[in-house]
Amino acid sequence: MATFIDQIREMGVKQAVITKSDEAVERLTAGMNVGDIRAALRGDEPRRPNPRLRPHADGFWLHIRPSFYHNEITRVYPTFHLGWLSTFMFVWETITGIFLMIFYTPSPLIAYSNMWNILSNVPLGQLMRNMHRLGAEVMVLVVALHMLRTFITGSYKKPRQFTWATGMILLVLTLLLSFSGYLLPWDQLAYWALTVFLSGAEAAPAPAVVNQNILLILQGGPSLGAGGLLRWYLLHVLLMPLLLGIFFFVHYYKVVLHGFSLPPGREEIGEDTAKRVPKNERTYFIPDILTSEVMWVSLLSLFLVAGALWFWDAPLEHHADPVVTPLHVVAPWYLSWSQGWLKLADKTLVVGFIPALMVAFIVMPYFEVGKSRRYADRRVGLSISMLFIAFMLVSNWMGTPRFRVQSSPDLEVATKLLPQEGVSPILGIPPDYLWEGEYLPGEPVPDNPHLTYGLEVFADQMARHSCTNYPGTTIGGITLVACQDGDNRMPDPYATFSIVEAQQDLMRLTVHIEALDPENPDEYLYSLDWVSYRHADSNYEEECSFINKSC
Amino acid sequence: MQVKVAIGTIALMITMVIFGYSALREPTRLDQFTRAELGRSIETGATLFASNCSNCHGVSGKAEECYDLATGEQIGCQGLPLNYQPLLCGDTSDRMVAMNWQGTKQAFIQSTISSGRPGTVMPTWSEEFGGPMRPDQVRNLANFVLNWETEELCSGPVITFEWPETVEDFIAQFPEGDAANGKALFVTYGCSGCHGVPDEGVAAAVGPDLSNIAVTGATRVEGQTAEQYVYHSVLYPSDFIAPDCPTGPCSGPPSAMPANFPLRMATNPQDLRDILTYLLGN
Amino acid sequence: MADVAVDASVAGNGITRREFLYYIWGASMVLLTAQAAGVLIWFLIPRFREGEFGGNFLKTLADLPDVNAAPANFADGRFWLVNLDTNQPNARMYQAPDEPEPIVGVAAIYKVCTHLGCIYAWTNSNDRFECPCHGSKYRLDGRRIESPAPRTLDRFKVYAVAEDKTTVLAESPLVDNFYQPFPLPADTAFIRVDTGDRKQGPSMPLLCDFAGNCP
Repeated sequence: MATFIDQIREMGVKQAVITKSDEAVERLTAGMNVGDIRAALRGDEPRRPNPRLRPHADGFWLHIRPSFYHNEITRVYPTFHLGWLSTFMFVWETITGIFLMIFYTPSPLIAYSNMWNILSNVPLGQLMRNMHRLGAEVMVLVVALHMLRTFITGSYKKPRQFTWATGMILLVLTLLLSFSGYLLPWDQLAYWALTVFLSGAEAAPAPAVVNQNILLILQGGPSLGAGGLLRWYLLHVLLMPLLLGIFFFVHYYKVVLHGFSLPPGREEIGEDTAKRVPKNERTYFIPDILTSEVMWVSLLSLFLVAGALWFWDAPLEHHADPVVTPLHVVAPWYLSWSQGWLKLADKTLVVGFIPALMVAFIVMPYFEVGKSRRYADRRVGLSISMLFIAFMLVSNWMGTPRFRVQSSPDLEVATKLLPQEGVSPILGIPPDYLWEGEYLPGEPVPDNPHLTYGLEVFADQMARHSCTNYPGTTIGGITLVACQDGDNRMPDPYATFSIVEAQQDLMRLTVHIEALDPENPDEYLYSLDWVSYRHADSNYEEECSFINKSC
Repeated sequence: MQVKVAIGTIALMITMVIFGYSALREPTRLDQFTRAELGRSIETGATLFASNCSNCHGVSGKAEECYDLATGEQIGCQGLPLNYQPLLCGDTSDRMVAMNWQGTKQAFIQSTISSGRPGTVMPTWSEEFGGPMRPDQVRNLANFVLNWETEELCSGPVITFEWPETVEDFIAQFPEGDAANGKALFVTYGCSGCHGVPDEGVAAAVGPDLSNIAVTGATRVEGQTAEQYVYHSVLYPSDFIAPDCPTGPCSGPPSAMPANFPLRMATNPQDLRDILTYLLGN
Repeated sequence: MADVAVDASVAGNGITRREFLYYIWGASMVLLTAQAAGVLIWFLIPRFREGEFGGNFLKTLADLPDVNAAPANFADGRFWLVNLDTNQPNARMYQAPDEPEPIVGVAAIYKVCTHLGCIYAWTNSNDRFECPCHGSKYRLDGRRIESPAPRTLDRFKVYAVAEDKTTVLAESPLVDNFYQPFPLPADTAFIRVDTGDRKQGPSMPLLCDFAGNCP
């Protein structure tokens, strides 16, 4: 090897520099020099021996990636690239998460104000937070879809049973990551969602002393507090990502070892597709698969950034209050099914059932040993899976507050207009349009479309929760249904909405609802004054611009 | 293949545009959110004030209109006015100077709420000192109180009154007293809530019966006339604790009687003259 | 020893010392792991120090109030100690019409109002607990006199402890998942209150209903 000085003497400085750079590139890429790279970018045939295989053979970063794929699995079908996208989502969450960590301390005294700091004092803080939150939900979705696809194409069958098992564990870890991160903002949403779920631990079918101690360990104290926040934070940023990483590598190693499963019908059970790809059915990683992968993540990144900026806003409710539980505590949508189940069955049954379900899923490939992966031969399995998905969707819907957990009708109306947490059509009225006065439901307010709309919502809500003993009675133009025994409606109520200036830039909004007892006209069956305050700067209108807010 | 490269490139370029757009509007947005944080803090503070403080400090913080939190009936206001120029106006308000407070106005309000005022009926609120409120709730309350500082409040004239030491000097300034008006004021200032209405047979419920105060008042403190005793007791109730109250010995010091009459009557000291006339007959 | 065949069937005839030692080593690793797991669980369970809320508070008999007298306040433990006996009723403690059995004994009542979590106070002049926040009122044993509280005040488990500060002579009986007052045995020297063990009070009718003076 001639030294650099010798090379200069031999071919002149310019040529020596070019040669040296070329050598450096070849060493960096573990095998491809500039010419090889250019040839790959141009789509030329590689020289022999193929330098594009050397980064896989000799380099660290590509050593676990296959150097070629079977043609049949390079298109959107059958994988939909969901495994790659799941991996990318994990990387996305890690990076956005680390950026957020810079501005967060896991203490109940500090965490909430940290959140406001991120939103109001960190450049692009809201975007970073929204990207992390949106990314978490997208990751759960992508991972679930990946699992669904793997099931449908029968890719869990021999010899890939263990890959499926590790994949199930990865799903659980993804859900736990989401769950633990949910607590960190330390607002009402975070605190109560976690308290409710952790109290489920107490309901497990095990001796009380075990349950109580498990609850203590999970809560980090007699109730969810400083100890709990720190524990879940550590789970979220250290233990879960570490476990996810470890299981990911096991999972991916097995994927590469057995090769990607070909579309059903192209592959027999037990066939090794990894080592037997005929040369004419190969697509090489460099440059084709790499290009495809980078393109898909570019598109996903665009989707995530645009979504986080314009469509999906992470909520921040009031500071966590251990003594006040807001009405309508909701689980995140991907766990809503468990809340739905809790409404149907005994706590102990549900809490015992879920781990059993998990174990069933993990060991499924060792029992489902049908010899064929073709769709036509798996009608039973596919039908069961569709039924299960339908069941999960119904459970999810049942977990939302609309189903079953209804409080008294006056409170339902009042909290729809002036919720304890979050925004509403009334709160979203721009402050300039909050004109002082007392208004009736459905009353049109000239030159004030926002307030008029809010009052329409008021009328609509009143109509939903009221009935009348005098047919033909209307509220805000909507005819009321007749009162029947046992329905949870207010009989012939009277309702107003008033706006009063309480302080500079601060309006006091009051929903007043009263209804006399038809059997006892001296007594009120319902009498409610529900007060909320609205400051001109509170920015609820901006929050309303996102589609995941109900204004 | 070229299509993929193109799609990838366009996707990343659009992402860059989005980031750039986001960065451009960031200063405005940050400002908006900073104000939103304070706005929402004030909203929360308003709710806390209504359910914890309004029964002593008044619904608009002026110690004028107070309602019992449980029953809703109107009661006398025991607290000092907060929506009040000497407390809120200027970086260093008059009250801060009077209390010799060296820190900021925000800290003054927060500290008072947190620790309370031992020796008065102002409770300790912060859970750091055994009260029921978290530090963020105390901060929200403070922000709400501070939001009463407006140009309107601070541009008006401050009305204070130097209450004379002796009732004789006071009567010298306000010679005429209207007993009928005094009786009406006895109710609106909240006195009847504890002392009943002496000449209408409405018995005193909490505070000592005042029906015969013109005579009994002279016996309370050695060397003090009934007039001086009543005058001093209205302004500084904790200085002399009466022996008997309807439900047992009178509690205190600090007296259960509000200590805010010197402030509240400063706008119209004639009110006290009328009340004295009503109670003492002259 | 060195030339023992590697054949498994031969190994079945007799374990070499080396092999045996490996097995012992493996067993010790398993035992160590099991021990570490146990210790780890102990490590993870939150502890509450004596005298810290969440832990135990040891009080002497002198700390206990007289029968049916005003309650004793323990702010750091966030509880009141009450000494009840409806056989000697007074303004503070009496048997309500729907209480079939006399209520006798010691209880530790949580200082947090069951309405919205405020710290209620004992109002001597009215012989009852009164919450400043929204006016909930409770009898000496924690039962509601007036709403808006939804239920009786919560109670902590109480132990009657002997002179040696360890032997438990009696403890709060659990009836319908709520701790009941219990009379202290004769040789009780100390009272231990476990603030980590709290039971929620039940929802019983308001006492003001019986007196007919509910607001």
